[in-house]
Parts: sequence; C-alpha cells; structure tokens
Amino acid sequence: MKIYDILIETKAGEFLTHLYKYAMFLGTVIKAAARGPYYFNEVLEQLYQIGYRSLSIVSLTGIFTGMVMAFQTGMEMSRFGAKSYIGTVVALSLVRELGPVLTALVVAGRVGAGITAELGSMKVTDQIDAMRAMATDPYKKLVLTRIVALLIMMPLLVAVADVLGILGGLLIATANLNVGYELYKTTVLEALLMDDLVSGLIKPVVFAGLIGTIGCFLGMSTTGGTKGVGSSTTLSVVLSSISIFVFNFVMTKIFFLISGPL
Amino acid sequence: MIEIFELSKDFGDKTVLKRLDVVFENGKTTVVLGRSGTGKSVLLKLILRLMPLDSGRILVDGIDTTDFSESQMMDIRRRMGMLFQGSALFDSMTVFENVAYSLREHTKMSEMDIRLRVEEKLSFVEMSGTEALLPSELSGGMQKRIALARAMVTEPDYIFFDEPTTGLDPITAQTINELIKRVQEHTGSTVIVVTHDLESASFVAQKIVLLKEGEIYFEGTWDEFEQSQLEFVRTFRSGGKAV
Ligand SMILES: Nc1ncnc2c1ncn2[C@@H]1O[C@H](COP(=O)(O)OP(=O)(O)O)[C@@H](O)[C@H]1O
Ligand SMILES: [Mg+2]
Repeated sequence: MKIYDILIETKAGEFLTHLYKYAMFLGTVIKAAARGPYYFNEVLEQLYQIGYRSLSIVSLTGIFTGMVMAFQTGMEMSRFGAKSYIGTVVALSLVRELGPVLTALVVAGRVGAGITAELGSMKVTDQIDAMRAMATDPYKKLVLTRIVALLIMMPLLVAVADVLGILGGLLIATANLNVGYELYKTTVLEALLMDDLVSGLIKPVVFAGLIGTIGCFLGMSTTGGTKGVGSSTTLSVVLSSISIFVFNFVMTKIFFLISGPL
Repeated sequence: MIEIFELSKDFGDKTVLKRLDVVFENGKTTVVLGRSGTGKSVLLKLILRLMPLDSGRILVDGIDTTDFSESQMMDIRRRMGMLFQGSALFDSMTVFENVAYSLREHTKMSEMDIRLRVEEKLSFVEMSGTEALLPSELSGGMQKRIALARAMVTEPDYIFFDEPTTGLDPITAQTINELIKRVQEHTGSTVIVVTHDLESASFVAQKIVLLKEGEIYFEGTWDEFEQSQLEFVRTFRSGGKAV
C-alpha cells in the first residue's frame, strides 16, 4: 500500500502503475485461455460483429489508399520516366505498411472503441459483477472471445484492404497513367516476395492483439459512470493508435534486419 | 448458513466494514438496515467475493471460503442468486435470455425445459409475455422483477436482494415486498435483504441487523427493533427526526 501510494503521486509512477495493471490483466486473460469452458458461439458472434461489419469501411480504405498512392507517385514517377514501376510501389507500400496500419487504425476506431464502450458500460452498471455472481468468468466469456475474434479477423481484413488497394492502383494506372494491365500485374507479382506476405500477416496479428487487449483492459477497468465510459473509450482509440504506430515502426525495423538490406 | 467473523474492508483511507460479526441463518429472511454508504452492498459483494476482503472469515454452510480463488468461488456462487441494486440485467439480451442465462450456462437442461422453467419464473414475478422485450423497454420496477426471476431461476440456496424497493413507487415497492416474502416461503431459501426502507423491512424481515459505521449496532427481531430504545435505532426509525 505504501509503495503504491508513493508511486501514484508522480506522473511516471502513474504510468508504471497502469502498465502494471495492464500486465496483470494480460496474465488474467492468459489464465482464462488456459482452461475451459470456451465460448465458441460467442466467438462466432464476435467474428460477425468485428469482421463482417468492418468489411465495408476497410474495403473503402483499401481502394482509396491504393488509388491515391498510384496517382501521387505515378505522376511523380512519370517525370523520371519510371511510371512503369507503379505496380511495384503500390504493392510494396500497401502490403508492407499502409494496408496493415490503416486497417488497424480503422479497426481501432470502430471495433476497439466499441469493445471498450460495451464492456465499460457493462462494468459501471454492475453487469460484469452480475455475470460473475452467476458463476461465469467474464474474462472467458467477454474478453477472450473478443480478442480471439480480432486475432482471426484482422489478417483477413488486411488482406482485403491490400487486394482492393492494389486493384484501386490498377484503376488509376490504366485510366490515368497509361500503364497497361499486363505490365501492372507483372510488376506487382514480381515486387511481392514471401517476406512481404509474411510480414503483412504478422503485423495485423500484433495490431489485433494490441487493439483487443487495450480495448478490453480499459473497458473492464472503467469506473465513474457514463462519463467514465466516455473517457475510457476515447483513451482506447488514442492508446491503440499510438501503439499501432510504435509497434509498426519497430516491426518494420526488425523485418528489415531479418531479411537483410535490399 | 452464512457465518461472518471479524470482516473488515477498507477503500483507501476509508474504513467501510470494521471487524463485523454476523450470522445469516438458513431458511430465514434477514434484513440488513443502515444508512446509504454504510457498506451494505459491499457486504453482499464480499459474500459473493465480487471484491477481495481485507481480513476476517466468511463461512458458507461451514465451508471457509475466505481463501478461495475466483474459480473455487464459482461453485459457491452457483448456490447463490443476487438481485443487484440497479438490476444489472444484460442489456444486450432479451428478458428470456436474461432469465435463462444461468440455466444455459450451468445446466444440461433441454431448450424445452429451459423454456418451461423461465415461463414459470416469469409468471411467478407476474411478468409473463415479456420474454422478447429488451431490458431498456421495461420500467424500473419491471426490471427488478425480471432480475428477481433471474436470481431465483436456478432455485439457489441463498438469495440476496440489494435495495429491492429503492426508487420505486410505494405500490410497486409493496408488490416487490410480497414477492420477496413469497420467494422465501416458496423455496425455503436463505434470504438477505439489504435496504434502508423500513416499510419493506417490517414486511419481510424475520431478523433485523442494523449497521452503523461498519459495525453491528443492533440485532434482533422486528418487534425488538420497534421497541428498542437505543439511540441510533430510534433515530433510524424516525427517519432522522429528533426523538
Ligand atoms: N469499488 C469501490 N471502490 C471504492 N469505494 C467503494 C467501492 N464500493 C463501495 N465503496 C465505498 O464504500 C462505501 C459503502 O458503499 P456501499 O456498500 O455501496 O453502501 P450502501 O450501504 O449504500 O450499499 C461507500 O462510501 C462507497 O463510496
Ligand atoms: Mg448499496
């Protein structure tokens, strides 16, 4: 109690305390995952809620990002007579960086915030306690199911954004840049190596873990009525977004170290 | 029987329960009275171990649950039903799903049997026909009744009511009081009602416990409570008016 009191008084101490609580939360989630009962139907429901219902906004993000990428870089590259490489640029930047990051940001805003708001309002209206009183572990029933659904859905959503982004690029390449379909297709396929596809799949899983655990953690620790739900929800989007950017940078660095200089 | 020995609970600097000793006897309705903020809800939450206790012991039918883990507590909780102060119905589920919740979670009952049981409990609380509604479509008094049906659907040995009549009009409050009495007579469950509503206490109580500043101030039957000349009992009875 004493150490805790001293800790909470400084900003750094406060940060460490929250980090400690987040680590405890992760421990609880892992313990919940280790032993049944498992709520498969709830996971299916969440797959639908999280995945299917994010599909349209993720698709739009992908298409427009691909189009604007192709347009901007294509115009610039034409000046150097390099516009035939437009497919390479669009494919690499989408699959390596923009697809995962933008999809994750959209999901953090739509799904992560939703999870925090839902769990947070259940918390402040005693529904979480009611669930425990009825001998159900909310970490198994609510938290784990949402995290698992995110982990499954995120790579699929990113894949959709990547594919639609590349198709969006194709649209601009053929319509505005006079780069033919065959050339675009060849450059795209040549650009993408196995490494890119692997990193393009690992990133979404990591982002899903961040969004899910941060969203659930903040929801489950909400206090202070409806106002508390509001501030947890905002914090959820902010923290998820920041950690997505930071982890993306770190992972990009690591992947470059592993695959060597190009 | 629930036996509580020297139970203490603090929140930061604030002491809520101070070495509380109390016994809730089987098959009886005990009413815990006290001003708002004296720790009545905390007491119920500690029995269910929805929050950790600081010190003391809690025995349920002779089993010491004090050091039980969350998963060990799950078995104890299955024998208890709780009506929360704000009802705490799952707002994403219909009335039917709320009442059926424990049956679906913890029993192997068929959907048919579950349907029958839920209908029986809904008719007990006089809420038949509301199965498909969402909690948000119900008034406060109706929500309490659904929450009562949910708390008693597994026919638990212990049922706890946290301020069942607070915030209700007198007529609705009286129907809830009658329900509480009927539940106890019907099931023989051990009932704890936490309230500051004397009307309600006089109607349902077989035993009264009055809390003051985290300790038991008075313990006895309703008649003894009515006749007691202890200062705080008199103040409480008169609603704070000078006596
Ligand atoms: N989770 C909690 N965190 C901090 N303080 C709490 C918590 N729960 C209850 N309290 C405090 O404990 C005291 C008793 O609360 P409670 O048991 O809800 O009172 P009541 O007798 O009205 O039901 C109150 O002062 C309340 O502020
Ligand atoms: Mg209370």
